[in-house]
Amino acid sequence: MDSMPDRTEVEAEPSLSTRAAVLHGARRCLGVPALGIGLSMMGFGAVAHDLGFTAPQTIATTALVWGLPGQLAYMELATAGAPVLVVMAAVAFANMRMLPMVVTGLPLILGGRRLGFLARVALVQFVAVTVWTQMNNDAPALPRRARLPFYLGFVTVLYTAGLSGTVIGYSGGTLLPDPALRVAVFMTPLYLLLLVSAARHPTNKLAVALGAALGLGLYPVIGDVAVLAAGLAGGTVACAAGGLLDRRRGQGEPGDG
Amino acid sequence: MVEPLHGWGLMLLAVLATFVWRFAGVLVAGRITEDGRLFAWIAAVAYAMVAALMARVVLMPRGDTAWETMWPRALALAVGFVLWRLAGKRLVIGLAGGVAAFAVLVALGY
Repeated sequence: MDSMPDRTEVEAEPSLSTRAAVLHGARRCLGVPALGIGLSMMGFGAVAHDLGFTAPQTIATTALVWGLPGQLAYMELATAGAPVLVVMAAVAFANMRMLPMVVTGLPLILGGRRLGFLARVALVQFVAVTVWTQMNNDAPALPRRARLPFYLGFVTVLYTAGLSGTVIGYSGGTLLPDPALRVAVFMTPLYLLLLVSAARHPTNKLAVALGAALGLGLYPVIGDVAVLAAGLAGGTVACAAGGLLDRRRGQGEPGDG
Repeated sequence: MVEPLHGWGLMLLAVLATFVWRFAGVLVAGRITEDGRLFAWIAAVAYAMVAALMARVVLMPRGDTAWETMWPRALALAVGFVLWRLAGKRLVIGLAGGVAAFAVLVALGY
């Protein structure tokens, strides 16, 4: 944890070569993000092993789904013998956050670059909570041309850590004694909560507070659907409140896209 | 062991159920402008979803909603947040403080 990311080191660099931007992204990932994903996927690998999935299937699930809640939903329901449509619906619900994350993350990643449709589809296969949060935090301080290489450097390390964690968890358990593992696993959600709480725009700040409160309140009642409900309700209320605030300040309304 | 359909076939359907959102995201991103109200709403929804998921994972990592397992996490989360605010939103301080507080509680047997 000696290379814990800190926003100031990003702002110090006025322009970056492609190579330097890739390395910068990779360095930003080493430390808390890579460790967090590695440990989360270790937990996933161990669960998959206990449920009786084969190693290739487990690794392929991490590699191709790349979204832990959906991965767990798939394995738990498949093992329980749930109907195919139920499994698909549960995975779709669990990973629906990918839609708003890609819509808002893609412009950050591209930084004004024009890429073909298939290239864009390929790029966003690596979008998940950690990289979306990090891009929102880091991209505005990066030169626009440096954002795509930064993203590629970051996700290369993150993906490698996630796949390594899956393999380690599947083959040997978790490497750490249980109390240490509990502390280590506590780190990632705290890191990401602090990162999203640092959102610059007041609307997004409010969305974070409402989303967290609603998510916690609804989870014991409606389970995993709480993320979806809290996201839609919290985001909509935050947007409405943010719009009112802008109007009271006499600012022009932003035009529809 | 897992049935054949509950093997590769079902796994690919689960992959598809995630892929559709990313694919749809690229389609939508190509059709709306970054400074529009629709974009602002989608961003707010994304922030709220990430916060909802992470708040749940930090307090109820295995879906356990019992207060006995939740309070040490809630306390450590509060310590992390307060330190983060006091330190001028320095992420390292909040993270180290929260993790240290949780480590102490775990070491004490909670």
